[in-house]
Amino acid sequence: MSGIRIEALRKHYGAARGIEHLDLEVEEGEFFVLLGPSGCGKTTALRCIAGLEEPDAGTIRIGATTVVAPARGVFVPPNRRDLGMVFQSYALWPHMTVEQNVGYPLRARGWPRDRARAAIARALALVDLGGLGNRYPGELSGGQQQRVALARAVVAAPKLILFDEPLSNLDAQLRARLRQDLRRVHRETGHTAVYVTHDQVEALALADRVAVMREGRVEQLGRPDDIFLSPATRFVAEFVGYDNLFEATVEQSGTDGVRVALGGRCAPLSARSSARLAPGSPVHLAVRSNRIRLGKGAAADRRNSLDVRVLDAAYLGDSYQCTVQWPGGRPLLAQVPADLWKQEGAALMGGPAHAFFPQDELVALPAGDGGRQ
Amino acid sequence: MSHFVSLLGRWRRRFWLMPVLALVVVLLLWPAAMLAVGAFRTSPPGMPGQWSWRAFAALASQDGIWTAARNSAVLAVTTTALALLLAPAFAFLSQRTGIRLRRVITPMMMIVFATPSLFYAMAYSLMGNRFNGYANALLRILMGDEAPVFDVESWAGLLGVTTLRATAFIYLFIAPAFAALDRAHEDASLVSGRGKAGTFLRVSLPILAPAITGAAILGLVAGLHAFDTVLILGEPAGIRVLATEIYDMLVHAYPPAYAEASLVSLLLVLLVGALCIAQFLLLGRRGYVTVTGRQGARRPHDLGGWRWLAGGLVCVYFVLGVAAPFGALVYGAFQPFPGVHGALTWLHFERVFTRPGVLQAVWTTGLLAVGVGALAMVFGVALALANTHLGPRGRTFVRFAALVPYAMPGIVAALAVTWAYVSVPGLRQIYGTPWMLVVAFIVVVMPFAMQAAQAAVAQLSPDLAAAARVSGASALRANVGIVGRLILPSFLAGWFFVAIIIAGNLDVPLLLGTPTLSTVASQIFILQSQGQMGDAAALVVSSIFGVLLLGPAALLLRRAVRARRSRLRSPGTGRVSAGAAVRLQGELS
Repeated sequence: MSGIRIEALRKHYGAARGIEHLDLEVEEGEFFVLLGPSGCGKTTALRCIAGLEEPDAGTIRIGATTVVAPARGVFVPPNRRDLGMVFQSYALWPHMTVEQNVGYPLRARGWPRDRARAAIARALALVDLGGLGNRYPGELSGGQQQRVALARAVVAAPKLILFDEPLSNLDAQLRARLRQDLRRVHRETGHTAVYVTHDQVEALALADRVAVMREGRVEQLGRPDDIFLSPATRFVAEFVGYDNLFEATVEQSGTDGVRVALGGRCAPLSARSSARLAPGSPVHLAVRSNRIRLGKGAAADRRNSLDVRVLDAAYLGDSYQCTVQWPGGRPLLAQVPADLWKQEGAALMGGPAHAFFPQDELVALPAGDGGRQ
Repeated sequence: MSHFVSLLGRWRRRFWLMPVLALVVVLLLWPAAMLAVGAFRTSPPGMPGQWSWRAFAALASQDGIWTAARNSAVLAVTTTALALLLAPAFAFLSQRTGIRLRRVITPMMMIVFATPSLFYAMAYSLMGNRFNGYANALLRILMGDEAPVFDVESWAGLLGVTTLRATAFIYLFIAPAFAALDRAHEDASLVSGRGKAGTFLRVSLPILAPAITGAAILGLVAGLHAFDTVLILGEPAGIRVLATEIYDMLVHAYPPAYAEASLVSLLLVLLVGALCIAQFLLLGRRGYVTVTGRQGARRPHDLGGWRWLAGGLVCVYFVLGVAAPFGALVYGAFQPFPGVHGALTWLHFERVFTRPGVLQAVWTTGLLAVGVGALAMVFGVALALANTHLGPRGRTFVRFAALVPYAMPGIVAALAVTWAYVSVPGLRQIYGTPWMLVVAFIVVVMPFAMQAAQAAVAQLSPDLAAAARVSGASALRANVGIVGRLILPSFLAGWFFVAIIIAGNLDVPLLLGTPTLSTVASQIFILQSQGQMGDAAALVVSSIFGVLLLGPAALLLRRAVRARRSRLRSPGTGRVSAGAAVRLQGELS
């Protein structure tokens, strides 16, 4: 029993914004990711679960135990919540060896020495650090330090492990490796995990479910592919990498999509929509630059296409990123695979061209929720 | 109702904060409040009396007090202004240039800052006495009897010696800002076509302005605190300042003018308090943020031909601030008569240590320095830790409470403590006992102890304690086993420093001591004022020697503590900056 249930959580810091009203449920054994930009309240939420912050209102239950309920004067201190936590700064104690660091939770829990020793060895083996037990944290690389922190979090086999942006101090390669380690350790130990990050790639790779947070509340909750492919709001779309956004008006609304008018001389486009959008309502269309397909020749009566002119092309290695002007508004970004560009690049740069928007990749989002400033 | 329950629960969990906050009130706020009360009483502390405005009228009719106020202002403003010319120059030289002597600047400044002002005053009085000063003797030897005579017991002497120390004080405050200044700011200005001097004036200085302004205010505060230097170098020339005036009202006036002294003290505290608040508002958020920038890629400025001048400046300061005063003290301690070059002798040492009361004073001083130093540091650390557990309002409260002793010159602190404890029936007995000195010294050193403790605690990422808590450690275990253990080196350094301040403080033992209860500082002052310069110098030299013995002991202890850590490449800076980043993020999210 290690699911988490958060209800109506509120936490303010003086005048600064914290969490306004947070409801969240994490299933037992689940790998749950809180995703959002800095200042969205995700770290605060995590620290409330850990017991490092005292919320102003609301309740938190871990398993069958209510750990926070200010209204009833309930607050279980962090040391009685049976959890592990991995910090962004690693938070390894520099005056202790790796073994002493990892063994600390066991000493605090009063484990007998021989049992503790075995558990430490197991935890270090789990993170591939066997044999480094006598080193001090200062003698280890960043990646090794973070693995020590992970070993410390799992060593006492807590039911719940919290991760506060554990990979953000590492370089890209290490991050990829440690992501796999995290996933593997989660599989092998079966704990419930709550993981805070601002990196969508981490969220996709690790999560069973993701909650995208914004200004202290959950903006969208779902499986990683839901979030990635069907953002519900403009904010989420921008956050998960939709790099083209433009305005349109709903013309016709169907069960799984809408037809939108772009104004001017453009033909209407079909787009996906998860919300019911009434005809006549303004929407934002979101599309990733690598999903727009550029082709030679005018759009004419090609399906879901617009006339464009390629203004510029920048080489990105395996593709070219084109800046294209269309009749309706500000230029869009579109990526063309490098091999295709080799054949058609000259024609695209010189003459008339069109951009094709696959209906599944073009997402219509209700306008008016602000998005990122 | 539920709000109340929640509040109650929260306070129960922070129960340990209560004694700490109670100490803040009893030690820091209560004396200040009683000082204010004292200004309106007709009787000395602990005696029945009436409320009255009499002190105002009495004060207004005294000419001396206005002169003293003007002198205080002149002293504070002039020395701060001069130090503001010198300190940034030294900071620039030590942090931003490649001159060879740059490495000696910071240690030199630390020596000057840590040496009690009493010792400086003593040394300069030995050197610069009109009749028998060593410097004048040297001039006569070099230039014959026509040589100009320098008299340190004058405005020039007082200002010079005070400026010397103010420079060190301000330097130590601003040097870190100079070190952290991002060279890219300057490079950007250079490539924009501005020369080196223009860049320094238009880019570097404005960026450093908050730190420098803050230092200026602290310099003014320190100038208003000046006591022993004025007593020794100013008094003979008839120069009196507010602090010495207060001392006179209490010690030399009959009957002691408690109400007037308290009123002057109160006004001084309010003035200094206003300066402190100004400094706080000015620096509150910006001071350290503006000068981020990456370390490591430090390319020193090349001074070209100017480096000789720069080296000369460092040498002059070294001679005036370290070599000459210490040399004079040592020389004076081993000479039979001041100003006369004779055979070396242990006479003064033998005489001074057989004087009645001196050995007792050495003991008292040692115990007070070590004991009160430890107490103050423990209290400081407790406050710094409490700070991390308090809400914004609690934090502001602690911050202001810590400003209170800062606003009190030593003599005022001693008077305030007298009011606070002699007025309370059960506590009256501690008057005239070492406990009175204990309390007063805690008030006097609290700002420094707080500073040292806060710097130590701030260096630790809060994650380190948090990690212990989530690992299952109780709050006590996390704070003692992790935080306490990790700040131990800084704790020891702070303790050492605070102990030196206590040993060198003259204000407190002069006011609160008795003929049988004195410290080394008050003994030195008594000897000096009786003209026993050689004996006084011998006692100063012995004290310095004692501290030097204590110093390596502390250093060894510190090194032993560190050894285990730094055998290994300490994750030091990375950890600190990560910690800072985390803290910042914690505040944001």
